[in-house]
Amino acid sequence: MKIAFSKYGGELLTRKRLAPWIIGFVAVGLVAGVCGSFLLGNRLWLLAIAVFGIAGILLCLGVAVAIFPTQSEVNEAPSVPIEESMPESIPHWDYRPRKPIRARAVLGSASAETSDGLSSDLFEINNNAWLNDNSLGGADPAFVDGPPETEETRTEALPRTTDPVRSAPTVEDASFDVRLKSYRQSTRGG
Amino acid sequence: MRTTNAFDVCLLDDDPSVLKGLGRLFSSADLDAKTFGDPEEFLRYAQTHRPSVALIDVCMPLMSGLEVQSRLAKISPSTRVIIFTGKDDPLVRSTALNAGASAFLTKPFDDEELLTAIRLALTFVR
Repeated sequence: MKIAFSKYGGELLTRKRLAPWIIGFVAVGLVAGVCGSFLLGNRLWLLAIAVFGIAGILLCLGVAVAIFPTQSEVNEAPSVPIEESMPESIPHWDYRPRKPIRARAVLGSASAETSDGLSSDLFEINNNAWLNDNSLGGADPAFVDGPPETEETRTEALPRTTDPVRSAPTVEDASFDVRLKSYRQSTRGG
Repeated sequence: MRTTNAFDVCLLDDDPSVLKGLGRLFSSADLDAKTFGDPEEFLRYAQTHRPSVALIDVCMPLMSGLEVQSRLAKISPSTRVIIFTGKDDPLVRSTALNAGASAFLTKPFDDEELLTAIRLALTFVR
């Protein structure tokens, strides 16, 4: 069912807003007329002119106040809700189109990162995220003993294959592998 | 020992806008996250609360993210570390990952990538 709205609803609202002003204009006009006629009857010309002048000024000011706020409300009303409904943007945050998450070995990529000592336990999400599958055991002892101090420090990273402790499979490693495989399957499926 | 009411995820970055943006992202993802702008403050918190996952920016004026990672490994070995940086340096990446970082992200990264890395790290912690 289509609901029809009155085409002249805006005019009715405008008339309701202007009603107090119209009443005020009539009152000022009546008072000025009565006072002016009384003063004119008593031949007080200057006072009569002053009363009519003041009444005219009041009427002009009233008309101006009644008209200009109405126009400004009509012009500015749509802009305020639009500004309030705008979503807040997060600075320095990238919302690129999401790419499908895929797991692949870094060593198999075309980039020249094979000489960095990266182990085959790393897999890459998109092109700027690397996950470390073999980080369950925590920090590498060699790193803990002497980490690089700054980001620009150039030190040779030791490959994990030389660590005899990590080469021995443990129960935690087995559970880790199971969870990792299930996670990879879920990400590939999504 | 890990105390109660500890945040699952801690974020360390010197850029307040990154802290604000990622904080909103974590809130929208129902992750209990606490943000830090000072590495020393973060390390003091980590020593007492032992967070599950720590996101650390590499390039910070007071202390490098790799140094924070090494100190965090000493005071809270159970905390999983995710390193992110604006400069993709393969050597820094390999250093961080070989030091035990769970993930290495280069900015700008997708929000889903970050959440995936965090959830994966939380899965391995629990």
